Amino acid sequence: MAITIHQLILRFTFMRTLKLIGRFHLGFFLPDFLVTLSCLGLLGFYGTKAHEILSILVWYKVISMTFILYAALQYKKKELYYYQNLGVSKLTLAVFTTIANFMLFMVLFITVYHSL
Amino acid sequence: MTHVLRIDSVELEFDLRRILSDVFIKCTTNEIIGLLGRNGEGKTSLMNVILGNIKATNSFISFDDVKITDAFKKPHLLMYLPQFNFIPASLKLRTVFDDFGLEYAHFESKFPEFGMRFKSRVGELSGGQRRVLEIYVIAKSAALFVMMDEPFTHLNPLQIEKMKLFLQEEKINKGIIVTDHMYNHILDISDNVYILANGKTHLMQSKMDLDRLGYARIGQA
Repeated sequence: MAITIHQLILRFTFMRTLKLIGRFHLGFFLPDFLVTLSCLGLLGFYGTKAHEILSILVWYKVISMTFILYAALQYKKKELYYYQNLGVSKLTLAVFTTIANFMLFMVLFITVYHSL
Repeated sequence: MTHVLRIDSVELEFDLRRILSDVFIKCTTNEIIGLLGRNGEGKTSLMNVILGNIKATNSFISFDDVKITDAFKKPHLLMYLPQFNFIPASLKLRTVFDDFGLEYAHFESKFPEFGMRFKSRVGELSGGQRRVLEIYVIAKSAALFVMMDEPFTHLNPLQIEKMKLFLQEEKINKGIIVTDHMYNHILDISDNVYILANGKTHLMQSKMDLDRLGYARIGQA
């Protein structure tokens, strides 16, 4: 099926936006991922009794994720104008990095939990 | 085709303190508008109101007589150069030009001191070079209007003269609103100048208005 120029532009804009969000997230990916790894480590540590701490781990992840995102937005406050000038607002950056981060956490969390 | 950006009836308060009360600015493409005002008069706040980053008590921002809100979501209409360095220091110049869809060769031909710096990181540039880069990408962008907050800070006199020429070249394609305390440079390049005093904008008729409105002492040693 033929792709119109408008669709091509939309696709290009979408890919560019994803690239910019990814680049922004890369700046604080490590602390987020370390929290995820610590949750997975605790899951492994508790083994068959892991179900007792599931909600605590999820809340730990949610709270630390919020804190890390807030710190990143404060630390990179000036750089937010760069993304804004390229059409990616602060809200878009915050929402998409949170979704990506939490999805990665959930996929790894469920995978490890089922393998216990 | 000429486009018009109109800023009207801006009222802004912080903690019951009125910052802006009667602001009117009209900027068309192919025009440079200077905005002068003492520290704390609300120039930066006004730019953020225009951009939509700050919600004003009242404001009417229109593009070609169509009201616009959240202009920051429309970089094809309006871009903003803040008064501080905003390009991430970790990025390579190549990436910055790629992001803004600009050609490095043209930049290099305009500013030969950037020759062979294509692969350098922004953080490796001097303060002046970094500012030149930022002004260039914003002024050369596809946006129809750009706002520049203190663009000449960190630039040496030669760079300032070069930038003034560059902005005058670029105004052919866009409308530029610029504010800086180096007011003589602003007066040199602007087609119209607004003075922000006591929360109101005043269209400057003569240089003596700067004195009358308490911005600068004119004609005194």
